[in-house]
Amino acid sequence: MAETISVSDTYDGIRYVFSVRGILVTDVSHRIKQLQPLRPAVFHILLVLAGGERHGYAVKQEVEQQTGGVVKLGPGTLYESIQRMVELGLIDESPRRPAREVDQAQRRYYRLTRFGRQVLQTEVARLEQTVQHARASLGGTKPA
Amino acid sequence: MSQQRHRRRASSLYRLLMLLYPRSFRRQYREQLVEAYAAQRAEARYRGFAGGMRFGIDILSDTVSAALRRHFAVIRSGLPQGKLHTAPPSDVCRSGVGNMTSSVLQDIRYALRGVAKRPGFTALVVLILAVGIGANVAMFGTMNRALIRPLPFPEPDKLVLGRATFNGSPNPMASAYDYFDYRERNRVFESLGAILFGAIDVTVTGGDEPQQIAGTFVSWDLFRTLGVSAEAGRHFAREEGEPGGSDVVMLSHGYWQRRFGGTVDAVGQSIAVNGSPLTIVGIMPAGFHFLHDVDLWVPMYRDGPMANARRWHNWLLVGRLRPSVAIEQAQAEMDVISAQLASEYPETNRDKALLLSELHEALTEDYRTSVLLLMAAVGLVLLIACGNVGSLLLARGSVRRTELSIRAALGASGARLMRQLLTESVVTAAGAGILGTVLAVWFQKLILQFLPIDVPGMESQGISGSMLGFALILTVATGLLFGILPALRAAQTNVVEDIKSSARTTDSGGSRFRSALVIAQVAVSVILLIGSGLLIRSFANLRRVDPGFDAQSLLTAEIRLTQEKFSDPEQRINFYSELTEDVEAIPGVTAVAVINQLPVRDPGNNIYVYAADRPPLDPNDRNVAYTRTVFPGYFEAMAIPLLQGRGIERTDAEGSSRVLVINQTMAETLFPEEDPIGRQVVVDQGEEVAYEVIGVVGDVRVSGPRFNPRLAMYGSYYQRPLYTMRMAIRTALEPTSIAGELRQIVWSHDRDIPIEELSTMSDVIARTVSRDRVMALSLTLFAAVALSLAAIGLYGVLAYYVSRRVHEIGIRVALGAGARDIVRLVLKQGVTLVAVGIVLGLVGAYWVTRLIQQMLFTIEPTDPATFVGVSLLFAVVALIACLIPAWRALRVDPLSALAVE
Repeated sequence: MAETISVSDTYDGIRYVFSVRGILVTDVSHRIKQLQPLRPAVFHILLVLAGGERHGYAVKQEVEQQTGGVVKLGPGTLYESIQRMVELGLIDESPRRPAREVDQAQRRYYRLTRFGRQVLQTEVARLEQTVQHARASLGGTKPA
Repeated sequence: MSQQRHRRRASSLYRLLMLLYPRSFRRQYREQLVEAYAAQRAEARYRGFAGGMRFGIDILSDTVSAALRRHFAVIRSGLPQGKLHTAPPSDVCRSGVGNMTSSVLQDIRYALRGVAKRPGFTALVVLILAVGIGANVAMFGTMNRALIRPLPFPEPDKLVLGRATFNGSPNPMASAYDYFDYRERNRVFESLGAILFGAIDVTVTGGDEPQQIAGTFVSWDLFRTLGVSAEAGRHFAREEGEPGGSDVVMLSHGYWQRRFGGTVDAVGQSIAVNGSPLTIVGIMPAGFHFLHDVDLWVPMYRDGPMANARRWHNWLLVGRLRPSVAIEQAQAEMDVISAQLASEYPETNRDKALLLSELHEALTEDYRTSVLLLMAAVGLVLLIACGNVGSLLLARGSVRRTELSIRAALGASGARLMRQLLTESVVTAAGAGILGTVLAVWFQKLILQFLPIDVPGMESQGISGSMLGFALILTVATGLLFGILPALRAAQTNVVEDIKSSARTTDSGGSRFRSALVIAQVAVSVILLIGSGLLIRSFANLRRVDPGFDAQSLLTAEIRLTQEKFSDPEQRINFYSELTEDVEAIPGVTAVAVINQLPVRDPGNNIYVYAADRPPLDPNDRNVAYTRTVFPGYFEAMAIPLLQGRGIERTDAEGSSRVLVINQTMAETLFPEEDPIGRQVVVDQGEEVAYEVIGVVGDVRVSGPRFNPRLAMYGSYYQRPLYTMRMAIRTALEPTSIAGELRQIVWSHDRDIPIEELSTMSDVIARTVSRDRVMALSLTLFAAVALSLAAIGLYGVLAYYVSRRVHEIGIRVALGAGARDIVRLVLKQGVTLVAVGIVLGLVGAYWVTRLIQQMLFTIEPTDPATFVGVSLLFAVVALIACLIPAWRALRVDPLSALAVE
């Protein structure tokens, strides 16, 4: 039985729990559960990378575009989140780089890992449930 | 080119900030962080001054929070980053990072032990820095709320303020008719609202006793424009802003609580305002405040109060731009409409225009200089304090040299020692930071009490997140700043030399650092001193200005009669005549002045006038004069000199010829080098009416000492019996002592008459220059602190110099040097430092003081007297700081000095 140490982190007033040595825990669904709910930054980065490999700054631009500027990623938040996600095994650096003329100098590209995709799917499913629940309790409008 | 350099400098600042990250993270992401930083800097929302400040804060909080999270992750895991999910836990303790963490903890423990061992020294340092950090955090909070943080309205950057200009200079009020035209003809605003230039006191009856509260007129759509919804009930409807609409009112949250206990059924009820019933349609939310501190809002409408002409200018315009419209576009359209109006109504609108500015910028332009100046001053004081503490630590560093050398001999590297010393200073600074943040809460209240800032959202006075972030950064920066020099010195420790320890070491490196510190301190204090000197002289000039009347021993009061009970003019005349007689009979009262608007307290109304025998060819060339209505005896009671003719008398009543007393400026403007007595003046009071000039009196500065007297005229109360009048009562005793009797007398006539604005005239005048006083006082306080810190620093350097040279001085005395030579030796050191510092300070001040030009009254920012005076003052203080060490050098006994060998 591998030991796990949980790190709790407070962000925007919500408490998030990560398993820092999570890779040693073999039960994937348990690991995913420990990651939920995802920090907004993490969630949106996953969402963008689900669409294909991106370099860091492109991730930031797309996140801000997708959320209409509601989720803003400063340089520190962006790369701190990326680093954290690499550590958690949600994403990894892509060994392939675009053609030399397209790639600008030191840019590193990131892609979703299989585990990252699972986490994103689970999170989306959870959000779906939440939305349904919210719609029901607000009464009135039902989803088509 | 310069922009490029600017950008490079900004990003090198950011690189410095990146030092907050753990090293491995920084190495891995350095280039990418800088790239993201540069791209963010270029975003549109960070344009302009406020944008730049906002960007700085965003980047700071982003970096600090990300760095904290990263450090947190590193410390908790104890793992080298990047391998968290692959490296087995057993590697952790052996890795270098783990060691690093534990040695930092060791340093902190060591530092805490050291701090506890020297409680007095530490307490002193912590206190000095805490006051500095506290003042900076408080000032930053104020600046953030006033100048940087967006207004508390949705999409605040779409809000603009519209002010009328004449010939390009701001009026700033616009007329109601012009407003209606701008509102109907423009296509750039989602909505364009208006608000009256000020608050109006109204009497609300129907409760337990008549209450006087403040209210104002707004266009029906003003609150919609701002984007603030009603807490209860609704906003005004469009038809309530039309002539003939129903009489409605909206209440402030506070008044709703006071009067109705916050019950929802207050909406729909009716209250009597100045005798007429108004229906309450809505309540504004708590904390809502816009321009005027009022408790009720009444909709304006065409031809309603203050909205019945194109030539009366009483309104400020507030617009919300359509989503895709920029302010320049809107301004262009306003210019087009202004031009149309000018050709349609040349008589009133020639040379008139509407100037749009961003609402936030416009609201803060009055405070910007004051706030930035205070921020700069507290920042400089903290810098000087850091210099001093650094100087103290350097001195202590020489004492601790042996200890450090032994540690070096035992294998500690220079970098290790440096880190230990830096940890010590940062730990000390952390104590100061915590105490300073607590102090900041209190400082902040103090600042707002003395420097009232009228910007929406200023009310919340807690410590905000950004203030905490600023405090944190300031603390770390302070610790590094005052710790860096001593630490650098420690890193250069030479083991062999230092363990031998020698009283003869001259320690040139250390004293060079300290000399540089002293020069910087002197220069900065000179700048602060000159700034405060200028403000003090400017304030003294303001206080010396003659207001035009005797402001001593005057009690002021406002008395308001309601239209219901005093509808007959004769009633009002009788009331005020009897009241005057009764008040004059109070023991201690020497004279009573009665007027509709007291000088300084109310500037008064502007009205067009011209000499009857010289009608102007162009109506725009008419002069504007303040108009007032007085009772007989006004000029005598106020001690305003009667220069020609006679004052207003009882016989200047309804039916006899209409008369005016004019001031000297008006006499010289309308009747240059002629006798004005008996001449006719035409006054445009809706219709043009001719008055006969019966007297000329001295000028009065009606808007406070800063503003020159303008044309003014006084009519007779008997010919214009108003409801509301003010009294100025001259007393032989302390003016406020008769306040109680005044109330008794008024209420013996009628229990329902409210008396307001009871205060002394000298207080009223003092209030008009209170900002000047606060700025002069606070800057003087900062300058005094800076001066004494610099003097202490100077003293420290020279005392240190003497103590290191006891041996040399001993030899000199033994060889026959006299007292004068020894004193000269020491003074030469001090004088050089001070002279260099003063010259640098003067040059700096020459450039810096022009920033406060607009705050100065009749004094130049490069006033030579101030520059010379400050230099002399500094020279004297420096001399005293030098003489003590010199005197000590004189007492060196050559025998004992040499015996140390």
